[in-house]
Amino acid sequence: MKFAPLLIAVALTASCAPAAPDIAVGDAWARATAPGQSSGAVYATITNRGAADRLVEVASEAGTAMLHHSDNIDGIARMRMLPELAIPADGKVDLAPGNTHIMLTGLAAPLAIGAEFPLTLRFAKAGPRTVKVEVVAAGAR
Amino acid sequence: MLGKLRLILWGLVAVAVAALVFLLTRPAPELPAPTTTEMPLASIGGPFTLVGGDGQPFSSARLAGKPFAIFFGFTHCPDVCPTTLAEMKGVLDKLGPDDARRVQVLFVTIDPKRDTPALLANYVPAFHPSFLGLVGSPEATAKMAKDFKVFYQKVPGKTPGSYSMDHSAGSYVYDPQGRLRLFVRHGMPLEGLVADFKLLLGGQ
Repeated sequence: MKFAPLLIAVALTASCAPAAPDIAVGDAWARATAPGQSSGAVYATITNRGAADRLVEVASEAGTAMLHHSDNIDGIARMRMLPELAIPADGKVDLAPGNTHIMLTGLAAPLAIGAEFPLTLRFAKAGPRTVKVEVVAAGAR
Repeated sequence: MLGKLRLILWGLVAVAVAALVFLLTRPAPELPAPTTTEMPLASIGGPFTLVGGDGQPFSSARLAGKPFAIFFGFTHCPDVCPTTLAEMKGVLDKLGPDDARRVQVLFVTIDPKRDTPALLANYVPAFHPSFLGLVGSPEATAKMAKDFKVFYQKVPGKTPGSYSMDHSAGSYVYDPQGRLRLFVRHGMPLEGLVADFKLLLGGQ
């Protein structure tokens, strides 16, 4: 009987524990690259219907993949590598031109229009998500 | 007390009515103002001869009589440069084929070490067949950057060949007489630039 309040408190606290992240990655695309062009960028939309998470790793056989962010400060474009990216709870993150993107360097071969290649995004809690990246014409988007 | 207040309130109404009359009866401006940033200083830019994608010299004298947009970047740039080129392509599409033919878009590399004419020939026209990629010697590149007040700086990467470049990310737009008219900040909405090109093509 003495422990009832404690048990109730524990039960209430446990029921408040955040749900797991519920992450989906879609609309993954990249611009076609020219022969001799060693870098490309992949863009995608990350949708999270659950608790907050972090994107901690990106990988693809198409090249060395890294998260980068394009800054435009005082008219100067700078690109910086991000070690990870916060994915908010019940939120959406757009990897988009001019913003955060996945940079591919050391491209094994040019990204050709109409081609598709897999890319894996690994989230700290949700684990890996592999998407098909669609390659579009350089000026298309 | 109340009388004074009423007087003040009527005074305000009179001012408001006067302002409204003034605004509604102002003559409409004949020319819409450019929506991108007007450049009052014409001291940016200068004549140049660089190498085009075909490996042949390209002189800025060939731009006479054509409005043109010029911006600086490098092909190993994964995001900002392709995005700017894609945006310029979008602007040309919105101008329509007749007007687009009369505008020249130039992409000048600030990474002449890696960006050969052949690479530029593969890369730049992929966005729009009329786009020109230009490259010069390191000295010519430095002179271009000085004339156009463009900043560029190498950022070391994990390997000697994988460096990035920080660089000015705007476009300069010149009129058919070769006068600098506009500066387009990277990322600004395109409708303004389409309208401004139409103004320049119309001889404004």
